[in-house]
Amino acid sequence: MLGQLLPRFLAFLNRKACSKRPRNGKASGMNSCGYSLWATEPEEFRNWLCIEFARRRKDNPRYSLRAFAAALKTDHSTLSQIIRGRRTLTKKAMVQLRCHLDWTADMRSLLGFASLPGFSPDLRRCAERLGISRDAAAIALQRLVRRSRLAMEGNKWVPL
Amino acid sequence: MGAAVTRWQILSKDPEASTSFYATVFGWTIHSDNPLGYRELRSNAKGGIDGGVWPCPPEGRPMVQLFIEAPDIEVTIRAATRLGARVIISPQLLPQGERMAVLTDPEGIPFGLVQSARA
Repeated sequence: MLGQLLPRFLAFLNRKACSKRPRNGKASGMNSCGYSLWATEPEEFRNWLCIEFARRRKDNPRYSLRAFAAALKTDHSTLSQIIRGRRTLTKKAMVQLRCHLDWTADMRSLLGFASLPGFSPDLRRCAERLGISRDAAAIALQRLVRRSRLAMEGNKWVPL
Repeated sequence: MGAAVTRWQILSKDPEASTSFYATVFGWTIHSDNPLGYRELRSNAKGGIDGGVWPCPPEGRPMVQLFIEAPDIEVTIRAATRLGARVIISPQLLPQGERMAVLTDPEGIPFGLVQSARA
């Protein structure tokens, strides 16, 4: 039942979101519809979740709500209730979901690479090996350090 | 004597363009041959301080940060947080031996602390 209704519901939300201007002016972390990952209003954040799920399904039509819930470290029934507006989104819940959503592929790759034996903390070499730009590697490093997932200790990077 | 501002840093969404802009307009030289690939901008002029450009993540705002010398970074962080500052990046040991941290002041304006490499 949910499988049939969800795509239509998401398409509706996507149309609705695309026809609206963003309520806050933050340009950061916004999707193409202007909804921000950093939205502070539960409704706006819920819309962002729906649109992000729709985006992932567009990239991979087999991407399921269950997979999205797993990525957000929550269970699919909770996520389904959040998306349908049947569950109140607290600020704490938004912070937790945001934390998992903002974990990028570059961060994962860099952290994995830094954990390899014989790793050399040369950002340009890391970028080359990971096939990303030097700036993307620098941003990933900055995010990891800021979240205390990686510590720079002189000529070593220590995954935490 | 108070603590000196020892360097500045531009956080830019397009670091390459920003570096090139400042180098061209002010005649500063670019040095990025370091382990972090950090784009250092040097004026090579008497007086003044040098700085650099670092990429700004999509969720951030382009800005200029000032880095202030801290003889003991932990002591300075304690003093600052007592007065309402928040630690954004805890002290990190850079490859050149300096320790660096980033905080926000009570108004939310970010600034950096640098403790010189110990001899």
